Amino acid sequence: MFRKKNECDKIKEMLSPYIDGELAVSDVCKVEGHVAECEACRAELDSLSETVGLLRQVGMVEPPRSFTIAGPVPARRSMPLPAYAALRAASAFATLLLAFVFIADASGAFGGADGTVLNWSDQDRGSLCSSVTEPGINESDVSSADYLSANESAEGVGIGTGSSVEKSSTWPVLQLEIGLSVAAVALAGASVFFRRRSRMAGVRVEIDDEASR
Amino acid sequence: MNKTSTLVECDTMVEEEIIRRAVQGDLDCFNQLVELYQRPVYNLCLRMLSDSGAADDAAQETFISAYRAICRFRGGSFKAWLFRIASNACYDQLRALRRRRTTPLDDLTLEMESPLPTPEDCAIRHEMGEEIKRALDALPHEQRLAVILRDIEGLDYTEIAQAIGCSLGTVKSRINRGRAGLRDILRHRRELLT
Repeated sequence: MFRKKNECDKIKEMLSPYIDGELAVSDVCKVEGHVAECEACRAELDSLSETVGLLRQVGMVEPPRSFTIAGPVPARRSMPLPAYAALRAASAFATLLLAFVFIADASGAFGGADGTVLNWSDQDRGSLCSSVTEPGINESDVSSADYLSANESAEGVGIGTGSSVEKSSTWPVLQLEIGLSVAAVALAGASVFFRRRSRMAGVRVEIDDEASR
Repeated sequence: MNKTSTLVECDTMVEEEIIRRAVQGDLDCFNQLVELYQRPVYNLCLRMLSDSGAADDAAQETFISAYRAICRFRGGSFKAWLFRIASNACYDQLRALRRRRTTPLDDLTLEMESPLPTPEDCAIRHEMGEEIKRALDALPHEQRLAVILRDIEGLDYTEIAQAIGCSLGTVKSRINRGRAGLRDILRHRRELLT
């Protein structure tokens, strides 16, 4: 019984192509053979044929006016494809750059040539310590006092206690991060805005390319 | 070869020549294509949107988009290519209509063709057209488009696949489901089918 049901389902899927003459000869024989035996599928075929017959009686309406084009077509209202693509690429680039800056900042890679960093904390102390001590000296050998004195003696470096920063870095990391964030959000917003505008204007940006494929 | 097939071949050759010139930027030739296809394109839009104003806009947008893109037409069925643009224009209009949430002022009724236009026939055809319109409107957009392209516009499955931008299997499935859906909706009006 289950097998029979599966077979009926398969035949029912072939009924519309059968009505339209779009089936292969072997499938036509299969459908005709099945329909001759199965009353349910025969009823399905008849009802579908009647529906198709009704639809094909629907008359065509004359257009209310001519759609011929009188002259040069006005410029596209939506953003041209290359500009839109450039906007998206710029948005992606700004986002990637922002991610890179965040990662670099978190890993302390913005230390200047003279060993300066913007944000210094206890966690950073180890790495900073190794950058200001002479080669060959172990981190563990450097006490906090030594560390502070070493840093105070280093030219152009000022370090406070805890996580505060006394002197600004040569890298304006914070400003860079804020600027990139604003740029990424603005570019993404502009992309979305122009995309929606082109759709509202009834002209999809990619319609011509898709249609001409 | 019979006379009819020779005439069809001649028409095809003439159309191919017109398309070739239109692709080269000849506006007059493009307008000949517009005149040739504006009736089926407008009817597709009308059946999809059930709103004569929106159908007018969609048809106009179709031909403007086609004119802009015709230099990139790479052969094949011009009708299917044009219907693809028209389908996209219809989807855009459907989105716009949904945003505006308006009901069409003109309650469009599909008129049925009949060789016997007696008053009684006219009334029956009008009623039948109304039922079919409601049933079509109740179908999902994809199924409605496939059914209209096949049963009202008369495209073959390959052309429909090109116009919709999907595989032959999907076309078969959508047409089958669309017709079955229509049949179910119309079933309560059994007298229409008998």
